[in-house]
Amino acid sequence: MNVSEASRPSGRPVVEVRGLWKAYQLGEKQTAGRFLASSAWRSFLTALAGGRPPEPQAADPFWALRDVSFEVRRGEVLGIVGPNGAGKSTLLRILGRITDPTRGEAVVRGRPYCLLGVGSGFHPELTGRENIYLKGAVHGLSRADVDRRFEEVVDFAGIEDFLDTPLKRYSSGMRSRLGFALATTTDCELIVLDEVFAVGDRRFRQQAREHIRKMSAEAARTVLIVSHRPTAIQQLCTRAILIEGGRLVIDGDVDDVLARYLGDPKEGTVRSGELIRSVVVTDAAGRATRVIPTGTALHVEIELEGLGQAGKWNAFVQIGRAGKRPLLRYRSRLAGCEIRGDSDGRCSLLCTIDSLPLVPGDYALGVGLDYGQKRVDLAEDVARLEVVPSDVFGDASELHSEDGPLVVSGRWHCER
Amino acid sequence: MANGSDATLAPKDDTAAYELSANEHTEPSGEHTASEPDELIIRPGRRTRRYWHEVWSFRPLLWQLARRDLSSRYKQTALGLAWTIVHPVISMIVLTVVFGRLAKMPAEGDVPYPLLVFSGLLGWQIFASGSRHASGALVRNKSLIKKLYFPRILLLLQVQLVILVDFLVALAVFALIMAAYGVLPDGRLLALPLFVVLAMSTSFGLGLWLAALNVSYRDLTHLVPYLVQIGMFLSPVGFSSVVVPERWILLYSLNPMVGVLDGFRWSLLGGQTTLYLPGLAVSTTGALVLVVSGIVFFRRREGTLADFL
Repeated sequence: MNVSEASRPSGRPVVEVRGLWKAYQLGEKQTAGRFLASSAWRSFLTALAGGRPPEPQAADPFWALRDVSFEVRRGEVLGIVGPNGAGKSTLLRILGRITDPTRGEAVVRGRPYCLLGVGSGFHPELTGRENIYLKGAVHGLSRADVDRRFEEVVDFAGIEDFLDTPLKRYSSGMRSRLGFALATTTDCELIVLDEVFAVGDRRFRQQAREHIRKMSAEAARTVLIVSHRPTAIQQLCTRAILIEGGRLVIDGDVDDVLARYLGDPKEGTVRSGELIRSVVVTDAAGRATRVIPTGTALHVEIELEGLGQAGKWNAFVQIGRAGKRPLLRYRSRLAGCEIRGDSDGRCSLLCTIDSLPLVPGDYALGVGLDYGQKRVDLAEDVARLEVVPSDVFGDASELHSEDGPLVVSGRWHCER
Repeated sequence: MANGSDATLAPKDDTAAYELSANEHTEPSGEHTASEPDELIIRPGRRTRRYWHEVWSFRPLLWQLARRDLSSRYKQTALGLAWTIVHPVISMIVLTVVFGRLAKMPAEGDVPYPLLVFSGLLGWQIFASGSRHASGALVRNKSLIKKLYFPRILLLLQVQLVILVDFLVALAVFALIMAAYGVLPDGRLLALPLFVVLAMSTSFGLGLWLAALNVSYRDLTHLVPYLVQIGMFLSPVGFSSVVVPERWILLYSLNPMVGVLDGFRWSLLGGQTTLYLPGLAVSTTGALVLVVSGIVFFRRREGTLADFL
C-alpha cells in the first residue's frame, strides 16, 4: 500500500455507522385528488394539531440500506465499492446529512467535513468565482476565509481564465477539478469523494491521487472514496468495504474486498453457467487481470464441459456496460473456429480480441454458448473490466467518453 | 480540539453546523479530554437542539443565496431593477382606476386615492411574493438540496430577505409619490417596522407550509398564484377597509391581512386613517400561529426533503 506509517489509524473512530437502514417509497406520484383522500392529508391535520404524523402506510418500501455498520479511524482512506444501486450513494447522502436514515445512526467526529461528488452543489447560472464563494458558505466559511484560500483553489483547479464564466459552460472535467480543489484546500478533517475519478483527464486524476495520498499521510485527514474504478481504490485506500443490495458484505483489506467484488481474476468460476465452467481474462502480456488499456489485446480463456461431439457449437464473448445491451459480441463461428469436446465432453477455448475498441470506463464481460440457433448458456456478467486510457489510438488525453462508446484506429490528413 | 491551532478556517462560531451532543453515548471515561472534537450524530428525525444556532452559523450562505437570487433575477432582463419599481406602479394605476374611478370607492380622509392603493400594495406585495416565491423555493433549489447539507429553512429566510429588498425599493418609490402629492407622514411612521415584521411573519409562516407541501404536492405551484390573486380582492388592497360595514368588520378582520394593511396605511398616511385594534390583534395572532405551526411542520419534513425532490 502506498500509505506511510505516519497515517496509521489511531484514536476514536472519525466515523461510526451503527445499524443504518434507509427506505425509499417507490412509485407514488401524488395528485391533488389522491392528496385529499390520502393519509398525508390526515397527517397534515395531525401535524397542524401538533401531533406526530402517522407512519406512512408502507407501499412497498425499497430498502436501500439494510443494517450497515462500520467504523473509520483517523487517517484512514476507506474505499467503498459495490455495483450500481447497491446503496453506496444512499450511504453518502446520509453521512452528508442530505437525507435522514430510516433507522440506526451515524456519528461523525471532527470538524467541518466535505462531501463532494461530480459537479455537485454548484449553481449552473453563477460564475466560477461566485460558485467558489457559495460553496465556501455551504462549508461554513466566511467571505474572508474564502478570500484567503481563493488563489490556491483557482490554481489547483486550473480555471484562471474561466472565473467569470457561468458554470454551465464548464466541462465536466473543469467542474470536478473545481470541486476537488474546494474540498481539499479547505481544512476539512473528513473528506468524502464520490466518483471523482470518473471524469477529468489523466493529469487531473494523477494530481488528485497525489493530493489524497498527501492529505492522508501528512495531515492525517480521513478520506472516504466511492469509486467504480478498482485501480483508484487499490492505489489509494488503506481499507475497503463492499456493499451489495444494501448490505455490507465484507469489510477489510483492500485486495480481499476487491477480489470479492470483482471475482478473483485467477479463479474464474462461473456461477450461472451450466456448460461454461470457468472464464479467465488476461491482458496482452498474459497476466490475469481486470484492467485493460484501451486498444490493447484481451484474452478470454473459457473452459466448457458437457459438450457432445457434434459441431454446431457457437461460443461468444460480449462486452458492454453492466445491465445494458452489449456493445460488442465476438463469435467463435465468425473466426472460423470449430468447437468440439474431448471424450469427456470438455474443451478449453481461447478468445483473443486484438485491439479493444472501447473508451475508458467500466464494463461487464459476458460469455455465452449457442447450439445452432438455441442459446444453451450465458454468463452475462462473468467479469468486470476496467478499460483504462492508453495511447494506442493516439493522444490518450483526447479520449472522451462523451464521444461515443467506441474508439477506432486510423488516420487524419489535412491538405492545403 | 484536535487541530484547534488553525481555528481561523473554522466557521466563526466554532460549534457551527454541528449538533453538539453531550456525549450521551457509552463513553470510555478517562479517554474523554477537553480536546475532544465536536460530535455530529445523524439519526432519524433528528432533534438538533442547536438548530437555530446552526441556522445562524450558516448566514454566509443566506447572504450568498439572496445575492444570487437578486442578481440572477435582474441579470438577464433589459429593465433590471426597474421591474421592481414598474410592477407596483402599474398595479397602483390599475387599482386606482378600477376602484377609485370606476367603482368610486371612498378614500379615507383626504388621502389621494393612488397613495391609499400604493400603501396597501406595499403590505400586500410582502405577503403575495412571499407565498409565490416560497411555494417554489425548495423545488427551485432542488440541485442544492440534493447535493448539499444546510438547514433548509435558509431557503425560506432567503425569500424573506429578497422580499425585504423589494419592499425597500417600493418604499422609496412610495416616498417619491407621496412627496409629489405633498402628503407627509408623521410620527406614526416609526411604527412601520412593526407592521413590516407582521407582514413578513405572516408571509414566512405561510411560506413554510407551502414550501414543504409543494415538495410532495406540486399542484400547489399552479394553485398558489390564483389564490393570491383572489386574496388581493378579498383584502383591502385596492380599497380601504372603511368601506366594510361596521357590523361586518370583525368578521372581515379574520383575514389576517386586514390588520396588516390597515397598519401600513395608519403609519404611512400621516394619521388620516384609523387603526382597528381588534383587527390588528387577529392579524398578530394569525401571524404567530402561522409561524410557529409552519416551523414545526417544516422541521418535521426537513430531514427527508431530498427524497421527494
